[in-house]
Amino acid sequence: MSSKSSSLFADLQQKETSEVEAMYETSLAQLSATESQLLELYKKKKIHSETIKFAVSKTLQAPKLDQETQGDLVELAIEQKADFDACLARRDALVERLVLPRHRVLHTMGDFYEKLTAPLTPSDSTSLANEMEYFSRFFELQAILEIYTEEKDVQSSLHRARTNLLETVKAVNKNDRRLAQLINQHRSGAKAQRMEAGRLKAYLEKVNAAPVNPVPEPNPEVNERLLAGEALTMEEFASMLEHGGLTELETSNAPSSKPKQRQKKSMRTSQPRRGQRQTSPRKRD
Amino acid sequence: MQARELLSVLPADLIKSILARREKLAAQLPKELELRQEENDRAFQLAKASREELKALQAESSNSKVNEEDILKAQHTYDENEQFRRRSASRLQTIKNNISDCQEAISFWQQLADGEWGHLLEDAERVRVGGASSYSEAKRLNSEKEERA
Repeated sequence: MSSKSSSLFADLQQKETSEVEAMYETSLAQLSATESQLLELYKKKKIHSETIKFAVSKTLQAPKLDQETQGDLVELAIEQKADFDACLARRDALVERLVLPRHRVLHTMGDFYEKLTAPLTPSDSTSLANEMEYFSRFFELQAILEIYTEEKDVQSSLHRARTNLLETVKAVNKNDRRLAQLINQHRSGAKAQRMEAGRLKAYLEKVNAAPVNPVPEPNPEVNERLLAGEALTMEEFASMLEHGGLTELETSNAPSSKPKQRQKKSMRTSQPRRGQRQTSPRKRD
Repeated sequence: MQARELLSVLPADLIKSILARREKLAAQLPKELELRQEENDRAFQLAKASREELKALQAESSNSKVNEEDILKAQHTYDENEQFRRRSASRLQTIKNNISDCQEAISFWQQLADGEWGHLLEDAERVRVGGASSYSEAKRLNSEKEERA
């Protein structure tokens, strides 16, 4: 554990604490800036997604634009959607009023004209009632055809509005994807910055809370003895309790290479105390 | 016909075409009536003769001198002739109806040729002033009927 923590903070151990603290402050400021940028990106992305939904009629609620998005592609898409809706309503009103499509009007008119003017045979005559009906329908269809000719721009303007809207929606969608990429990049950046800030904070906490005597390096001699099955002396054991590891007893009070931030008194006693063994007086004798 | 041609047709022109067609038909109908009349007379005579023959055979059958096969044959001939008579009578009546209808149509369209066609163009006028077409009205009535049902 000691070696792991030393590798994690390897680059910081060479630096002064004040320098690390400055790094920590900078890191926090960067993280804050990245998170605020991320928030803005999320807002923009939401408006873009809502605009696309509104443009393709998946929702009837138009997105509410703020000052930043005004004059943007999003605003253009909303305007074009309103234009498209108006053209569509005009076309629908015309279709509802006339019902028959233009091609069918032409076909039926030709059919009626043929029925009214084609030569008759004595055995296959048509009635006057039928002739009146065909005559009336023919001129009604003629009126419908005239309207279709006059309102030719209804269909063409609808087509134009649809094309424009689709092009803009395509561009908004492209922007939406770009925003998604930016969000991902910012999230990765924020994660890295958060990790760095956490590392610096952990280091600073560690440094601030470091004991007077740092954990010593493993003593190879004692390791060998332990492996050979020999027991530790009481002094060595006491040293372990006090320092968290074995250290040479004569060098235990050697000055640390790290700067001492805080002197902390150990609550433990350094010397084990053992009283005289209690034996009965008869046995003592 | 193309859209431009159909749009250029005027009510007066169409009435003229209808009248011309009717008058041409009216000219053919008397000859047709004569033919049908002759056919009907012939059919009537044939049916009458075969019916009398059949009755005579049936009267003689009580003497048992007449073969049953002869009676059946006479019955069959009578049925055929009677069917032909009915058909020719129907055709004659159709021609008579056509003549009557044709006369009525000619007088009707002649009246309209003077510009009295307004009542036939009510639907067209309604559509021109922004109203619904008769197809739209029919659709609306149908949907209302379905909703009520």
